[in-house]
Amino acid sequence: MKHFIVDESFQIQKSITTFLEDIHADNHYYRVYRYANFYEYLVNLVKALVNDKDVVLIDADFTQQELDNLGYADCVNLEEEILNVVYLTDQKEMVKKIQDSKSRITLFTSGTTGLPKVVHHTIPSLTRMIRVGSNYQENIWGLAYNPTHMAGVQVLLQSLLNLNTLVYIFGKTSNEVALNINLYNITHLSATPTFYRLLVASKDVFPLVEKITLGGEKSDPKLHLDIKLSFPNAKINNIYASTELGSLFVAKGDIFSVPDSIKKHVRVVDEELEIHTSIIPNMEKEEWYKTGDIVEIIDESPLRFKFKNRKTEMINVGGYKVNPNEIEEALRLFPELENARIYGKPNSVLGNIVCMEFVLNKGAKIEVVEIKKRLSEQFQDFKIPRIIKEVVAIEKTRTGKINRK
Amino acid sequence: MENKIKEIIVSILEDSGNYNESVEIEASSRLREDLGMDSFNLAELTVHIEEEFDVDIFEDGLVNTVGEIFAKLNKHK
Repeated sequence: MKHFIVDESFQIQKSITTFLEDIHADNHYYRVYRYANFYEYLVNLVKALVNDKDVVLIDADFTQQELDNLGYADCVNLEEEILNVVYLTDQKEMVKKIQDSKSRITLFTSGTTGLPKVVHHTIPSLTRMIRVGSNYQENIWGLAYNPTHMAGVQVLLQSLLNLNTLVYIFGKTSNEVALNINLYNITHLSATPTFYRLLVASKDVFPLVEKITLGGEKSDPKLHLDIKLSFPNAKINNIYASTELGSLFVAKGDIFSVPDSIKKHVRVVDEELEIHTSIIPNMEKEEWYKTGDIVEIIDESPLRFKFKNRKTEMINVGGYKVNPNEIEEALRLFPELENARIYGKPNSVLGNIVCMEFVLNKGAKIEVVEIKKRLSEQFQDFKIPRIIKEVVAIEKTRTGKINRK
Repeated sequence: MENKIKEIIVSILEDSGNYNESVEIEASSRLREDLGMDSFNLAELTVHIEEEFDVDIFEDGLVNTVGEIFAKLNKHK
């Protein structure tokens, strides 16, 4: 029988029939679900969607402090009853109910003000770039993104709505990923450049993979060549998406074209890409949203462009965005430190690596391990500085700002 | 040079709590599978080796074993 959901770490191999049984198992669900394991997460999400219930998707590595700050600490993983629970007669009805769902889906992005930012979505906003139809029915997806993040939700909806087999490979080592690709004949992968960089290092060849999508950070020509060697029969796409806007553009190579359906809602001002929020259902304000992405225009009409860099100071670590101000703010509360600076340094493994320089107060002492330990109590793993050095003084720019270059 | 590389690897693993003393670091050791380095550890490794030897060992794609690092550095001598 065809697998519907596979997660080897929990020995999960479920068919669509069992999945539907698990959706119907009881009439409770978690409105605010903190991620624990993939199958339970997916059953809860689909249960919420088919019953038009709102759902909040919380990452497993949110710290208690982050949950407190967001105001979700008291309602995490509390069971709520669904009155008049929907009974799905078959998988087609499940697909239809998901497509017509009125649920509000809440996700989080790393905010620029220090806290993860709350972003609300609906099924229309999440499925804008999703393709459903007979051409897609035989696809077998590897889920390589965090399932609580925008990119992960997109992959799982693409797979669910076509009733594809979905194999959970997020967070697995490259060896395990390679085993899963071969064992389950995965045909479609969507992941960050860092994921592929680690995977292609083994020089394994995966002839059955038909499509590779890259997103979340800038890729490079060398990586494209390596991907072609490891996936000789795959088409390679780049995708532009953000937690706020969902997926918007797909590029062949590194040039993005704006689809006709949204061309009136996309413009470039002073090299910065702006998107009009009217294309996002249920947005409170209608305005031009500044993406913070600096682009180079290749053609004016129809608009085609290339990404150059980010305008903001965010450090992109393997597809995860780190706000240096947030970490510096926390470091200011360390009594041993007179001053500290967080900056990104280009890195051939992760794209960028988070680095830290610090100046000690007179007579004070602190071990690097202790700095990491204390930051780990407050922040997710990817935000922790990896290269930490003591210096005599922090270099500042002429305006008195800490220099991040 | 080889001892310096091993020293760097041990200190990265120790700092991140991934160090297993019973595993000997040899030229044939695979960085991820045998030594348990994750992607953050590999990223740190490139930075420390570049500081010491001025070579980005992963510039042309990742390497898999300790011996391949030695080979990269020898090539740049």
